[in-house]
Amino acid sequence: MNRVTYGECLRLLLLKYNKHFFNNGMKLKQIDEYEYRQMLDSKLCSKQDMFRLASYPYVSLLSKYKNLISYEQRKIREIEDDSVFAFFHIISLLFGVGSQSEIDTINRNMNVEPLRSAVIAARQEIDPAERAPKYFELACKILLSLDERGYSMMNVINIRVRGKIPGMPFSNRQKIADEWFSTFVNLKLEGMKKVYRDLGAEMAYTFVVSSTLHSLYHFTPNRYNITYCQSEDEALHKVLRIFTELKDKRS
Amino acid sequence: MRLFAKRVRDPEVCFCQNVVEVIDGLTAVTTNVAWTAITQRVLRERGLLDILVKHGDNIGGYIIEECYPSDRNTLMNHAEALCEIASGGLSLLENPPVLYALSRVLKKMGLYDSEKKALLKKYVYKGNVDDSLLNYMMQIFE
Repeated sequence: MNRVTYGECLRLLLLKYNKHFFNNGMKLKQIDEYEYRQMLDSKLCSKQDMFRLASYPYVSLLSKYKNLISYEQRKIREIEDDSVFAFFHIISLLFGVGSQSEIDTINRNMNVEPLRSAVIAARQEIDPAERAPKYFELACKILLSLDERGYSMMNVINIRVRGKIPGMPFSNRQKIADEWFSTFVNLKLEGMKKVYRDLGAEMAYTFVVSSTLHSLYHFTPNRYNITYCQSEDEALHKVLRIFTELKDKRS
Repeated sequence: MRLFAKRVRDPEVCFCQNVVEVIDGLTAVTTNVAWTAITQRVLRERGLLDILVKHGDNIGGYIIEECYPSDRNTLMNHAEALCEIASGGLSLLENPPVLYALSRVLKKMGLYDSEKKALLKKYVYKGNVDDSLLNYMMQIFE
């Protein structure tokens, strides 16, 4: 007589109630840079193409450094989060998503420098369809470059991370971080412009949200426990919820 | 001191210098993002971008003497390009530094009064102006 062992019995029970239990768990499918570049050069035809393009996460700021002590790791992680949040917040406001008072402030300042420059430069585009994405790109970069000292007329786009990277004097860690954030923003805006051109404004905002969430998950997968999520959509929602809760706690 | 600077008498180089002078006026009122976009668009549309690409890197090492094209059409094309750069994204009447920079350049170019008036009417007032106001504005450009 074949007797079922205790372990097997438990396994069968769990299989019945949770089909995902013995799988490796939910993972977000992400593409590499080569595929991302290829997709940028080809025409996007559908929503699926857009989501696929959005799944390129870039690399985390932490991976740019070696030999960090735990305090430095924690601090860099915070700066990374703050910088990504700043990008996400600004691009959302530009697309008209967010608090009404902040959107009104941005709209009022479109006639004043430095945002006026973005409007003027966007108007120079010969193709009218290119003007809105150009404005979003420039306005986002200009707003990200603003600091407590304001802006420089001769170098209005100078994207920097939010915060000071811990390090010794004359260390180039800050420069590396600024370059990382600049590349991050450029990649996201490049994709956004592509989606805007091919699929329209609504899809462009969806792209930015989806792409940022993919990046956040890629940077710190342990923070967002998405193993038991049923779909990628649910997983991204969970990443967004956990990230915004974290930001609320810190602020 | 510029002891070893090369003395240049070339209409194309002179045009580059005039572009820089107009941009100098623009830098007082707007940022590099705006004036770069305006200048690129205007020069590309008028087929003058090659001149800037050709001489742009060397212009700092030259002593440039005033020299303008003998062909009237080319001269007017240069003058119109400068006016368009100055008024490309901003109203000239609301931004005096740009207007003065433009006037300094146009004064040197040896344009006839009728040509200057036509340019002012088109680029400063966008077509809506009476003669008395135009004559008043001409004082800055004479």
